[in-house]
Amino acid sequence: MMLGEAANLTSAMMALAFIQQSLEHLRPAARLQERLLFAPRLILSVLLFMAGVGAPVLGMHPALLTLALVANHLFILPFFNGPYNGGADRMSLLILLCLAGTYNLPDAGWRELALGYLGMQLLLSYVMSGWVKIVNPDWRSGRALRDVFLFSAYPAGDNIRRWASYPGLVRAAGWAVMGFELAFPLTFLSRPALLAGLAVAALFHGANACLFGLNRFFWIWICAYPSILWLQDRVM
Amino acid sequence: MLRRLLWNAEWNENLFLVSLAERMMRVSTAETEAHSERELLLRVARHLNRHALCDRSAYLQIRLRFVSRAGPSEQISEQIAYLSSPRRIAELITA
Repeated sequence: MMLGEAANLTSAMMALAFIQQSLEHLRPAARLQERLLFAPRLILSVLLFMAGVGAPVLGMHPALLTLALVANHLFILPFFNGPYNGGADRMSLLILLCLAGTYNLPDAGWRELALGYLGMQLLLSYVMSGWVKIVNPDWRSGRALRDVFLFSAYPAGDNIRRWASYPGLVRAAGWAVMGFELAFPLTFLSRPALLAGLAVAALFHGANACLFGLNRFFWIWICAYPSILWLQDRVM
Repeated sequence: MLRRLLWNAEWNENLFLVSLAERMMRVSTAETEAHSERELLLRVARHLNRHALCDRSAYLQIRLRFVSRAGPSEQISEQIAYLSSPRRIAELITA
C-alpha cells in the first residue's frame, strides 16, 4: 500500500466516524452551542469523505480539510473541557493530527513519519493497555473485570451485569484480553498475522460496543488500521 | 445491539456524565470543578425536562455516590463524595 492510498483510506474512514459522532451531537436534545460546534464538523467530514474516495467537491483537498477539522476541534475541546468520549476522542484527535501532518508536511520523510507515528501508536494502544492490566493484581484475579460488570456505569443492561456471577468466565475473558493485547506486536512480523490480529481486535472493539455501549471506540480504532498495514509494508 | 453501533447518543452522554464526575473527584483547578458541576447540572436538568420527569419550578441537586471494596473480605462500602447546592430547574434548562 502506498502512502497516498493509506492516507486517503484513513481519511475516508475517519470522515465516516466523524459523521457518526457529529450526528449524535446534532440531535435536538443537545444544546444549541453544542450543535453549532458539530454542524461544521459534519460538513467538513462529508467533504473529507468525498475527497478521500477520490470525488472531491469544489476541488477541496484533504490537506485543507484536515486543517479545518483541527481548527474546529480546537473549539470543541474547551466546550467539553477535554475529551467528550474519553479514549475514543483522544484517538479521533490523534488520527486527525497525523493525517493533517501526512497531507501538509513539506518533506516526504516527515509525511511518512506522521502516518507511521499513527501506526505505531495503534500498536502501543494495545500493548500499553495490556501492560496496565497485567501489573494490576485485581485484573489478574478477575476481580477488576467482575467489578466493571457489577458496579461501573458501562454494562448496557441488567442481563449483562449478571455476567459478574460467573467469576471463572470473567477471569478467563480478562486473561484472553490481556494475552491478546500483550501479544499484538508479534502480529507485526507477517502480513497474515497482522490481518488476523486486526480482525480479532476489531471483534474485541465490537464486543465492547455491544456489551458496554462503546460504539465510538469501534469506529475510530478501525480507522487507524490502514496506517499500521502501510507501516508494515514500509519497514518489513 | 446493532443499532447502538450506529446511534448511541444518550448512552454516550451518560458516559460523559461519568467523566465529569471523575473530574470533580480529582479536581486540578477551580475552573475544572466549575465546568464539571455546570455541565452535570445542565445535562441532568435537560434530561429530566425532556422526559417530563420534573416540574420546572422544582430544584435540582446532584450527588455523587462512590462504591468501593474495603479490606481483604471484599466488604463493599458506599460514600456520598459530593453534593451540589440546589439549583432551579427552570434556570438550568434555559441556560
